[in-house]
Amino acid sequence: MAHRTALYDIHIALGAKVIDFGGWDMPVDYPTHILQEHTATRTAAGLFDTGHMGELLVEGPGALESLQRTVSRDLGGMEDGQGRYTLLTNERGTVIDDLIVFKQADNKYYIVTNAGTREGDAAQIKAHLKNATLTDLLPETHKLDLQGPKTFEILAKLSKGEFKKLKRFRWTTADVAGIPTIVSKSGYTGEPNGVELFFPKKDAVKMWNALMDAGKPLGMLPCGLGARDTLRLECCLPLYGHELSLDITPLEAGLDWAVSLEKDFVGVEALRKQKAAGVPRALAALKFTGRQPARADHPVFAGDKKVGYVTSGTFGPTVGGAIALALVETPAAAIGTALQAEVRGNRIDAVVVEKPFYKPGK
Amino acid sequence: MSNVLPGLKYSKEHEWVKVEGNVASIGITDHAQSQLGDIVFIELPKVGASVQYMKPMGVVESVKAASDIFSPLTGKVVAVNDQLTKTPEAVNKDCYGGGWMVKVEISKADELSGLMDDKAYAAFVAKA
Repeated sequence: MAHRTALYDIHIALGAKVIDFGGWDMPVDYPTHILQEHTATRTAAGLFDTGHMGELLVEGPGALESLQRTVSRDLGGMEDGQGRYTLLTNERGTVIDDLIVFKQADNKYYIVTNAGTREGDAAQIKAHLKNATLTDLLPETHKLDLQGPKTFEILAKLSKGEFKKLKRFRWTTADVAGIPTIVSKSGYTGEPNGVELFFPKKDAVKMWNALMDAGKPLGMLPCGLGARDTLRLECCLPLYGHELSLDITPLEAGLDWAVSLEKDFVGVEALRKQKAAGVPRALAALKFTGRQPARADHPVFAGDKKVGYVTSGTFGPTVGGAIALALVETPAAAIGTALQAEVRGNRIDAVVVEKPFYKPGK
Repeated sequence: MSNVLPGLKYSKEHEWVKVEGNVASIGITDHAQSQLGDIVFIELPKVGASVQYMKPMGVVESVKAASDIFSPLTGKVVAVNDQLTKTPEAVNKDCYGGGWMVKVEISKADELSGLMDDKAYAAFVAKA
């Protein structure tokens, strides 16, 4: 049976349509549907159950060194409560998962993983631990994402904590609705104002209800994975299994900034080689001339030549048109290139544009 | 609870059929549009095209995904709702009215008996 978060019954009661995601039964949308949920997040706020995501704790005197050898990005020099986006790569330099690693304190690192990859991540990290231990925090942890311009107004109703001045990818701890909570200024919607909340699983229903009561009068909506996907795609944030996978390197995905080639980690040699030889594929942002969206795995052509495939595609509600990310031969990813996606036998026209499709204002 | 209109026939793939003489108007049901969510693009057959009983005749793209539209009858397309090219959301707003998709000249009238009436369809949806 699929896993369920502590809020499953609440989603059902709200009329959510549930799908399997990474082995979890998760709401894809509520009766409000994706467009409204998406727009609420861009203009007011959206509340997302992300209780399916994983949390791992690595601690001990060897914690930092162990992680430095395991993940792609240099984790040195972080302050307590600072996080960095990084990739977990294998010897081939392809991607096992994308992670956010927070420095909780000296010798203590808190790692946020995707849902379906948590156990594999834990095994990969464990295999490289020296003088450190790994604990799976998921059994006792729940995560909710509150995203959008009204985020801090909503939080202010429930907490005395000072969150607004937090920098991106920093966290602080506070009581929220009487629940001891880690509040991280981060998220997966591209919204500059948004938080991820980590708190004890036993308080999941209480936290959800408190946020719903505080947020609803301000226009907040509960949002499913459907809106989460359109929001992240408009802002060109990668989704594991689509833009990142065991067949794609972070350099191909355009994540050079999250790969520290000067340090030693699993897969660095393969990545150095790829960088030196020239990265063969690149992730292109495609904006279509019409409304018809291309979807994942549809082939992409430059004239008669197949140059790649769509990794994610949808109708971008804020962009107001069909958009996609596509992994294509590097020359085809140049801005302004005319490409076509093949959708059910028809070619539809697109042009390569600058990433992201949409950049929310502050 | 989804809306089911009396006087129409329904397919198991959630299309509705309104018969007037030997022409059938066809669209998708309220249950279908609600399951699909926000519709952003619709691909329909052209006037003059032949459509086959329970074979795909078009595609509805919602924000979420693409889904086939099945023809509930065999026949020839005599009209297409071109408004849906620009305003596919009409299917979400008014699936039995402004959201109609095609009109088909019926060539096998006995196929109508393979479709459900409103009561049978309401029960079918309640079970789904």
